[in-house]
Amino acid sequence: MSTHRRDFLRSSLAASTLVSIGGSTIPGFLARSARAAGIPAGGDRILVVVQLLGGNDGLNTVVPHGIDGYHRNRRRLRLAEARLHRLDDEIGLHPGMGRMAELVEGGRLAIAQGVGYPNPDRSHFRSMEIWETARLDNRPDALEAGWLGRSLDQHPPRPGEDTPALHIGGGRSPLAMKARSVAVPSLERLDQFKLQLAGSEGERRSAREAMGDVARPDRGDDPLLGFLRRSTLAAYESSRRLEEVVGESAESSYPNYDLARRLEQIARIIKAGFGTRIYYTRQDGYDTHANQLDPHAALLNELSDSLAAFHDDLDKAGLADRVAVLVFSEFGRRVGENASHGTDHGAAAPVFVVGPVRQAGLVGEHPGLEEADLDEGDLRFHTDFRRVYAAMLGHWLGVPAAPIVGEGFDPLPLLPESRG
Amino acid sequence: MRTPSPLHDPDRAWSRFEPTGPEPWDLARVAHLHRRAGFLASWEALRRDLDAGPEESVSRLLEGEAVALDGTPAPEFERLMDALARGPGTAGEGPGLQSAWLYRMIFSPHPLRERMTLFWHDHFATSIEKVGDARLMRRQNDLLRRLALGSFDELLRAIARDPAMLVWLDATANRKGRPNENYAREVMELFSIGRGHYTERDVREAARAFTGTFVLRGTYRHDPREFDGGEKSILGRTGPFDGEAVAGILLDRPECARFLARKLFRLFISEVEVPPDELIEPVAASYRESGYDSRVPVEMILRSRLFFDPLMRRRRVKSPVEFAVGTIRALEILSPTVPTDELARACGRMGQSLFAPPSVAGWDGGPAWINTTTTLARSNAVLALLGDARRFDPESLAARHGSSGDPAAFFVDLLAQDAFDRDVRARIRGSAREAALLVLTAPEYQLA
Repeated sequence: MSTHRRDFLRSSLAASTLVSIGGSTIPGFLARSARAAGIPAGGDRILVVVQLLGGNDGLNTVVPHGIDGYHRNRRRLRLAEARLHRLDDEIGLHPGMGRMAELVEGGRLAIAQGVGYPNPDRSHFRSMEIWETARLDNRPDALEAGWLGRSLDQHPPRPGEDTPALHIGGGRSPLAMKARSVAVPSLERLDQFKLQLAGSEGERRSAREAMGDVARPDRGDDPLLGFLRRSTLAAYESSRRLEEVVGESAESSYPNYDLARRLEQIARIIKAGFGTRIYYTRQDGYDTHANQLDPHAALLNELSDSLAAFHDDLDKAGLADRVAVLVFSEFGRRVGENASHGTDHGAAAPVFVVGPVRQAGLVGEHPGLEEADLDEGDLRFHTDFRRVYAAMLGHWLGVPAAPIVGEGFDPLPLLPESRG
Repeated sequence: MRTPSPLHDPDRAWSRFEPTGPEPWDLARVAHLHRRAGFLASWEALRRDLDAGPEESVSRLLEGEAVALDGTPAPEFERLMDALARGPGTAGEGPGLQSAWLYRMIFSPHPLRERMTLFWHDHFATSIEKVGDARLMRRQNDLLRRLALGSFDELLRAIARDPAMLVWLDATANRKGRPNENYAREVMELFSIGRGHYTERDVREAARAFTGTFVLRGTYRHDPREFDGGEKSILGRTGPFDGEAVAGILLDRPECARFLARKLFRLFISEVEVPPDELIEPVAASYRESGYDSRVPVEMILRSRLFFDPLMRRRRVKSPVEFAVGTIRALEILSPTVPTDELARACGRMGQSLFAPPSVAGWDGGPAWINTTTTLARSNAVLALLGDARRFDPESLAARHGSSGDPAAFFVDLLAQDAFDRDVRARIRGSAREAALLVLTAPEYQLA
């Protein structure tokens, strides 16, 4: 650990800046403001990132049926205009995205078109690295932290606070969340966030009380032990609140999809009043090189229904204006279909933002489809993805974006600015 | 604290601990020794060392026991463990390696050596996530274990040729004219002299000295044609240096022994207090004078008054591996022991996946081990142990050691001794199972 970081930890131990949560009288939301992770300003805003793994075919997601090039390039994979969810005269959403079309109508979904970066890399691995770090260079430190991780490093959490970020899903935390100052946990299941007590409800309650009793602060505590006590109580309190919330929602309103289940977990954690401000989850399967139509429809259906269920859930809890969801993929696919009824790796693609968007619907033009418009057979980007990140960081979370994405990336006007 | 800090009197601090009336060789000191230099100890081992005195108890930790906890003679145990780590199921992947190492720690006749192996793993932090080859990770682990209490001089030179390290730091093809600065930087910043004691120019020049380094099919190779044999100027010395010479230059710097002595202070004494320079200097000097024999500063610390000073108790946060392995050893959950693949996953949830540290700087450690998720993971690991009646019965453990009458007192003495203030201690009561749960999840028990 760097000396600087150790001093920081030591001074925050000594300063005893942490709230102690005595007993169970503080409701989650009051306690939260005191325990919210270190990102300043905008206070309670939350960002959820959904990464579509494999390279989503943007052309068959936000479909330019009114542009000639679409029909010329997509003979077998063409989607019938009549079945699309119309956004304007030229563009409609994939037939499986009815719930997302409703979100547009409700003023809750913005679609940034033509998003990418210069000299697109068509390797999944490298392009994911570029998106997840917001770094296009090959300097040794480029992969040391992700874009969200760097925002955590700018405002490291104080000891004892809830984790500032969470990855929900299997495997390791994504590179986007990699930080120097904090290890972002990966949770596959919420029960990792629960105290696994056994026995009857009464037995569980008394065990919990006895454990909390032992951890209760003592007058003579030195700073290190005091910190341990507060963290322990905060953890028990978090898990207790979570159980309450989970208990309330035994009836799930979510569709039976993996992505929906992960978003439901995120919603539960948010509703429990955790201090966590950044959540990340993934949906895999978008690498559609062959026989693309049916699997792609199933994926978009899962995405659309899951996002809508998540939004409805938060809306019912009165939290929909505090949460923004960013949906992206490492690249789009080639404009022309391949010989196997699929598509190969491409470049620019749309990015979705769900939440209290400034303007619902399409943001920016659809990239041109004429031969002269294309970049070696791929859509040419006109909006650098770092402008989208700058909006998420600067406008939404109230974190200075330039140190993270670099200078000169004007935030895209997607979300209201935080009044820090 | 009204008493003068023991940290400001180096002579007294590093003088040998001798039991006296006011400073007896008691259960709290015996247990502290095992908490810091081993992985806790069974009730029997605590009693034995209480009778044996500090001299013999520290020697036993430095030398290792004659038999492992499963009754196997030590040399045979080490051979078996080496075979286990090479065996099927570990050959290709991380989880097998993690399992094998945890198993080794649980039964080890030489817990201090395993603690030091873990220390060097954190110091020369390398992750299988990037290296991708379990064989290379195992070989690095063998190297760290072989020299855990041996020559740091040899270790620093060997790590520069360690394939896992070179893959980890992208130094597998270091060509003349395009030197890779990564290893050159980390060897100074993290492995030897620490930040602030070298310049960017030193890094660039040292990078040239490491040219010619290649890893081919998992093996280190030096290609003289790609070695830049020109003059380099590193830390005030000039010559046609190669990697070996750079290691020598770094080991000659007084900052190197100080840097390591500070790390050993954090490992054995306190993560909270910042030791003043004059307190670190005697340890650094003995390290340097021994030619970097790591056993020398370790022994100096473990036999010192400072180490046994009650003010230095519980000044560290137990790492997840320390916490898990220590608990299992103290509770004698040995036949059968906990499935170590599950234990490895539990350690991961607590924030420490062996062979997968978060970065080249290793684990942050200290208070950073503790947050909501990791605290719950610790409590849940305890609940899982206590819920596994086939492997562990707290009643019978207390009865076996003649403490059926007051199980709470037994578990406090076994696991935490003097940790609790009187009114906190009064909250620990109930059946053997309840008392064990309360001690193991107590904030005090997370400290070492």
